[in-house]
Amino acid sequence: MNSDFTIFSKLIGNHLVIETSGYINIHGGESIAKVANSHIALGVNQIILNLTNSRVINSIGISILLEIIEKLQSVDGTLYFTNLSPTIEKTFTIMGIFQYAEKSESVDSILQLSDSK
Amino acid sequence: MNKSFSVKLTLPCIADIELIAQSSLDQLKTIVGFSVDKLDQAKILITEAIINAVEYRTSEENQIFVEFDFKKNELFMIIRDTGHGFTIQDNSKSNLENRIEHGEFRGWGLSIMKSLSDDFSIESDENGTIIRIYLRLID
Repeated sequence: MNSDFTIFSKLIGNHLVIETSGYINIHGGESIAKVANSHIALGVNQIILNLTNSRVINSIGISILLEIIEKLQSVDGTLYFTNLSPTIEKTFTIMGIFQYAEKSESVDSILQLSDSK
Repeated sequence: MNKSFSVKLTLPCIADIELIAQSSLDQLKTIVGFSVDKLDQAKILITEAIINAVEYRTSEENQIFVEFDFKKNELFMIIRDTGHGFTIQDNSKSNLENRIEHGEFRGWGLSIMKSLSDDFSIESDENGTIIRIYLRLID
């Protein structure tokens, strides 16, 4: 049984921007991890996960995102979440994820903040 | 729609079967008329309950019985399985720092269901598990 999950990524400067669409379960989470890990191995340590079109995530998908956060911590990197639905934002807040990852309104706002540093 | 009604699903205990329940909620939203945010909440709640059932199944022959009860602006969800059950542990006080330190990334399902619902209960024994979730459909 397949969900409608799709993933798109692009490198903007030193930021990897990953945009997903659809349900993030184990398969979606693994797809995100595959893209993230391949770029971390190349030295990218700023990753933006744009969840505009992903409104449902399960605890297994979240656990995979936590592994990415841990991996980024080990290379002094940061995972940014953008365009979170209120329910996903609440879920991440409950778990304390924003102590270890950043959130922002949009991809552009993260890139602009980075440019100004 | 003000009328109360129930929808019952009997699902096989297989991976990704929560997609059926999610699709049912999509359809029910068009009938009942609640918000997208409440739909998201309901989907995440039913998803966690169903993947819990799949995780503690004894075989793929197990079944998952899902009931959606709509009453005015309220949704009651009952999820019952015939798996081997499990010892219920409250992990909500185990903070993320400890979990990351010990590489324990799983086990958030119950915390998520408790926090996203307006009421939640779970009973589990060797004959299976029953989860009851209450969600208000208007804030």
